[in-house]
Amino acid sequence: MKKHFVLMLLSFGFLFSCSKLDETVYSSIAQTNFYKTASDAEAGLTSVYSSFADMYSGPSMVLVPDFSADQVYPRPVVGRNTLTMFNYDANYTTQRSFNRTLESPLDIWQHTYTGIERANWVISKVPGVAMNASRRDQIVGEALFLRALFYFTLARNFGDVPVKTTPTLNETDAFTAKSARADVYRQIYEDLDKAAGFLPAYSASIPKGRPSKEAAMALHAKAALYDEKWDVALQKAQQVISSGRYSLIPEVKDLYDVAREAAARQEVLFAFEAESTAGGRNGQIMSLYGPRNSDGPQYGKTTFGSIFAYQKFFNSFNPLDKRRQLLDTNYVNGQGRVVPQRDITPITTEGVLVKKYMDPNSNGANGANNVPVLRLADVYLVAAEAEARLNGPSGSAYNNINIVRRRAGLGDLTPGLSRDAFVDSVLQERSWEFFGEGDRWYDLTRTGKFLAVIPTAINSVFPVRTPLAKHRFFPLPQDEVNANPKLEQNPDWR
Amino acid sequence: MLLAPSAKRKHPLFCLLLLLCLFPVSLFAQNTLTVKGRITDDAAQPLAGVSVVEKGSANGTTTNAAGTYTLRVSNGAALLQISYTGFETREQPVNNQALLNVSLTPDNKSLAQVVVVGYGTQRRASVTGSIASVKATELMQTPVTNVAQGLQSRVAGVQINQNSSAPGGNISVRIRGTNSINGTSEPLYVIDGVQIGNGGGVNDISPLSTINPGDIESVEVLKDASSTAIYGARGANGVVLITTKRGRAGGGTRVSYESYYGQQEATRKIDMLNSVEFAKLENEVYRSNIYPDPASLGNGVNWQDLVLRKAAISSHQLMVNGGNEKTQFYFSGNYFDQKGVILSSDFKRYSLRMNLDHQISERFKMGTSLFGSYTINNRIPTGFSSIDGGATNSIVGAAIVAPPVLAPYNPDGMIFPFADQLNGRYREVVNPLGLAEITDRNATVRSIVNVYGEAKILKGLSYRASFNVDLNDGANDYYSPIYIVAVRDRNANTGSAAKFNDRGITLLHESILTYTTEIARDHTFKFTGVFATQSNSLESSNASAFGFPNDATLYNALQLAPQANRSASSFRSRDRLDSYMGRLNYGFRNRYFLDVTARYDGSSKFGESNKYGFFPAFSAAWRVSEENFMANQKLFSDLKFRVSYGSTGNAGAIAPYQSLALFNPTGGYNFNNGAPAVGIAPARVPNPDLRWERSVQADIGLDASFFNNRLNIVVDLYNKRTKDLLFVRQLPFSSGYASLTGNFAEIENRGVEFAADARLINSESIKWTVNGNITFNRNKLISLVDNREESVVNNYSVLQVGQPLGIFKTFVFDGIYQTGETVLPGSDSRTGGVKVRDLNKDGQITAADQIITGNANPKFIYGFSTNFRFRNFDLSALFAGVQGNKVYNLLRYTLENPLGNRNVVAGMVDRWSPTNPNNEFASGFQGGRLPISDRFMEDGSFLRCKNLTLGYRLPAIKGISSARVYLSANNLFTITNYTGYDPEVNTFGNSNVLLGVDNGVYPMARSIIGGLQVNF
Repeated sequence: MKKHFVLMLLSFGFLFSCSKLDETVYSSIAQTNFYKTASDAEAGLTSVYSSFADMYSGPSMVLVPDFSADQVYPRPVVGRNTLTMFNYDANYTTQRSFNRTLESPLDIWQHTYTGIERANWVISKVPGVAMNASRRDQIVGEALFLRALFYFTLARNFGDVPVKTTPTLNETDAFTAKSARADVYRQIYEDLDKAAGFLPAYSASIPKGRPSKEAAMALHAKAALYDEKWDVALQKAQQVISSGRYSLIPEVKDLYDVAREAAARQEVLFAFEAESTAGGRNGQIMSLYGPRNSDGPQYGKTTFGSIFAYQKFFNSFNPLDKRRQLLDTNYVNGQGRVVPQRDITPITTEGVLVKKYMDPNSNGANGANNVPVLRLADVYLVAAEAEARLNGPSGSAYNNINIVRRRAGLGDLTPGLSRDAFVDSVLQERSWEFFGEGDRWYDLTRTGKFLAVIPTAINSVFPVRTPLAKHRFFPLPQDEVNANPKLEQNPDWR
Repeated sequence: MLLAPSAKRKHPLFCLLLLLCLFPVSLFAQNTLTVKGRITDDAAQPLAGVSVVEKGSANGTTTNAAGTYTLRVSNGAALLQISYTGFETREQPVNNQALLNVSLTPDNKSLAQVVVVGYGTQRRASVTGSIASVKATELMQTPVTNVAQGLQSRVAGVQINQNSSAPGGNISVRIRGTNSINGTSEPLYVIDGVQIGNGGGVNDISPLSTINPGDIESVEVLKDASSTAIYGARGANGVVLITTKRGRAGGGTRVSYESYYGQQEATRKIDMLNSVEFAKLENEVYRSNIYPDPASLGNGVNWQDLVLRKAAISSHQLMVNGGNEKTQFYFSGNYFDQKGVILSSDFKRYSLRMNLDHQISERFKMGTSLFGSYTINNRIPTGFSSIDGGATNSIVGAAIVAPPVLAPYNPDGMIFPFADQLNGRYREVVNPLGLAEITDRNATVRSIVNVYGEAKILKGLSYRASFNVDLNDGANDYYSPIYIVAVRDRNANTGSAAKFNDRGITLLHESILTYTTEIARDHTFKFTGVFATQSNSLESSNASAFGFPNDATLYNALQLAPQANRSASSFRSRDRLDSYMGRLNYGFRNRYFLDVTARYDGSSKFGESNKYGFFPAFSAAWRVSEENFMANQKLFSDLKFRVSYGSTGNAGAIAPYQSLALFNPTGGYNFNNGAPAVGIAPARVPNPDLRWERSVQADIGLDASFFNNRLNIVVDLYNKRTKDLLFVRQLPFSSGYASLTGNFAEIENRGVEFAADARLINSESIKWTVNGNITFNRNKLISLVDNREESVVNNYSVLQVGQPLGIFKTFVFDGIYQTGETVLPGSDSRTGGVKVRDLNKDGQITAADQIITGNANPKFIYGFSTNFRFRNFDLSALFAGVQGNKVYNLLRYTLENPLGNRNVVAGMVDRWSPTNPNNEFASGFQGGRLPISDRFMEDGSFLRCKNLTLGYRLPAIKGISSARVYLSANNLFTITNYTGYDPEVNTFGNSNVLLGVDNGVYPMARSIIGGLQVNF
């Protein structure tokens, strides 16, 4: 026994040794083993939607433009007033310091580009997956649609941005220079043209949450409006309208009724689809708009009273306008008592509640409210504006705006307006139609009107608001500029 | 003269001895005599197995467990030679006494003294590297939870920071400075050959706390490249070698019991506004009469008093030690129980150890070390790192900012959530007592097992194989109850539970071949060759659920939550490290020494193109005192110069799979109103070049002993450069990814270490020793990625080339904007708000007005201790000091911000108002912010009396060979200008770049304990 002791020890030693140092991966999927099957392709595509959902559940896509604009304002808790006060810097220092990145342009920047990278993988890899060919095309089409939506979002918020259409495979791929805004839009059109080719025309059989061919065209129209390609905007908008696949629903407030979201799909071409069930993608926007201290059961189970509409905006509505019913100057509390306007919030006696995101059956602070991204009403108003800008306020321009006004319970727009007055009316109509949907600020910036309009959108909480010309676009996040030697800050923010 | 030999001291006992010696010894010659007596160490503890021999004869014996011996000597003038490993050999004339008790002096510098080095031992005299040793008695002087706490202020060159004073809490150790940015700077710990790590966030229990420090015999700290190169890719941050107690042959079985019990209490509280003052502030902030009559409100609740408590600490340890020539054993059992000074926090550890060595035959030996512990740690949330986060998420912060006007408890005695009080006005602050009701229980079972076999193959050639297992089984249970949530906020999601289980298994095999030879008596050679292979695997699973019907089942029945509210995840990883190393020690006439060490390490975690690294080191020493020309001097008893140079690596913090292209799950999306589909997307940009950090270190050292080893000093100068720093490089998001882990920066640490110990008095009845050490370390960032000059860490800290890590960059506080003053654009301020300096005079406040305003690195750190013994009494003290560092008091930033809803520091009574032009504190302003300025930069220097102990050795009691009782005070006092709880703090735990930030972590406690040590 003892003679063999050394031998035993040595042989034990060799049992352990002499294996290669390759890593065995257990809890992740190696790149070489992915994008092989149809379910890989679906999971890859879902990751792109996930980035889209990240921006709407935060929800930076709604709060960033709306806190900047002239319809709603935040309760000024720590770090939340920088957009409204225009005192952010390129570092977004305050929002980062106080955990407000979810409602910051940083969040938009980060999630759009994460989504773009994921879409780039889908677009480059899925065509090689062996699977049902028509679904394969749709998957690529959906990824192209989302990539276009991401670039449109970047262009609206930041102006000139890097355009990258291939996956990042190594460190050198990671650095991309800025493209001029025209090139960003060119990429958007290219993606949407391809997407429209791949996506099916709208029918009830399209899975809810996925875009149709018309959604791609509607986005194309809206992007072209921002790019001031009036003819393209008009043509694409008319194609959507004349396809007859969508129509305005009769009652505007039903668009925001959680229980009627299926009916609303008749009008809503694309939305962030939230579910309040556990594990689902839900939105916290409901909790921000509902009264403080969960005091209004109609609004949701857990609500904070963090956002209110300016009294001036409320007053701008024609009392007959049904859309004003989506605002309120009192609410009914849990004891059935009506809480008057002066007690809605401790920060002001002029609190006005927004009722677009109410979910009485919410799961705590998580609501099932869908957030519209593209609505047919938007397409009508794009068509009206593009037509007016191209050919003056023609009958068809009037027709398109009046369709939206009539649904709101208003009479037709005064006939015989000048081109400028007509366009202004369209912009005003858009304000009434899309408040709280993250759209108004971009109308104000694309037209340059923000410099004149914002200083008048004030109240006792925000008595002075003075945006400068540089606020037309948000600064590129300074970290991004630091991390990318090829990227230059927007001139206004240098 | 301070160091006067004790013989010159006049005291009665000495005179008595002198008289005895003068007695004519010849009178008693020629008669045999039986001498009895007891041999003890300098702390009067009995020593068993001590050799007692009549000089010049073979006549001898060893002491028994009680340290006593009986020896028949040939005559009354015989000389007893008393020797024992680790102590100075003593020759004691019998002088016809039948009773001869002798106390031995520990031998710190003897030539025979052996130090533990990597994969072996070495004579102290032949050591060429920089190695410091700490003994068990020093480690255990304070009631420590882990070995690192015991090392604090004991070793030059080692900075130890207790980041959180929570029981079992996080501690960071830096040997010769911070060497990494995004890797780890923690040293490697090796317990009886098993490598373990330390780390974790500020709220995590230190992994070292699962190991019982009471079993430790000695600790060696390896500091320079020559001593750490044998640990190759894991040696760059220094190595702490821990040797546990082993059995000793002879003297029968020795049983001993050690125990202590004490009370702890927080050392400080922060003064906040009372109810009257708070109500006035609220009225001001909200510009309305929320409190119509503030004066009627009185003092209100002091929330800090409610969450802080007096807390007990106790430890019991039983040790049995013994054996014979063939088999020796050491057994111990320990129970350690520490309650925290904050409600609901505590730490308990049960541990067992069995160390066994058996000589199979003359050539073969085997043995084992078995250690098992069960640790239970109840944690509370402290130490949140985000600005403002400390005030709402940490129990300490929540207690400090809680409005004094609110009630802690409902009339029915339940905790009263703030959202249920005063119509929810204070729903955004949290009742700290509620936070204390959240269960966060961490139970860890740890087993460290080592088995070795040793064979002497030929003369001088031996082989040792060891097999080690380190098994770490953790279970984290979490439950946040329904009843701490405001009644109106309770909903279907309230009540949440989680169970997280993880199992880490490290398997390590080492084969060590040693060959020792001598050529012509002048040349000694020792060759050590090692092959080691190690695999680490980690498996974890996590289950969580929310929306419980009630609080009855806590985290024990997740199935009671609705199915849709349950989620599960799991993870597994594995990595390997294969190493080959060799070391040659050469000595010439005990005078010149040369060591060459090299290690070749291969790790699976490194990138495809860098699997293996090579780490060589050289060192030499010259013992001047052995030279002939030194033969006639008396000043130096030892004098040695050392020099070393070598390269080591740091791969400790690279997680597995970092270099690979992998796809991971992302968030999902609901299609068709259904359950969310799972998305899968790339996790990162692969980096096939990922590799270890490489340090190159040079060290020059001097060891000198004076006056027959009565005074010993060690001085070291070092310069360490670490290249290819593991750095998480920010990628532009336009790449789709946030960052890439790679090797991108370079750092330097230079320093001087000085340690001294002296035996001031060394007589039979009085012994007085002092020890001290001081360290100057200078850390400097040499370069960053892409030749950048600066990299932002967060809003108040940057990395800047040419500066150390841990610098603060902030605005400069310039008072308060007074009435009529122009508020500069960009300053986000107002009349009555804080003003910062427009440094570049461009008329606005921008990022360009931020400058470096503080450095968290101390100018120097020091420690000193003293032990004094007079007859049966002993008195010892230990002091620790840090000088010249800055602490950023982020909590005070929050506490000076009168934004409404939260309480603020007492000084805010004097805040600015139009009639009170105060220039320090801003006026109340709803939702306001303060600029991040140097106002909160504080001097972090301190001198702390860490321990003061008075002990008494009881007179002989039947059945007990010795017994000592003691009383000690820990953290007795701290001299500092710091205004927070304690300047020894870091909210960022073991971070390398964020140092000295206080955002309200677990406060330091003072403790008074009484203890008992009995040997049977």
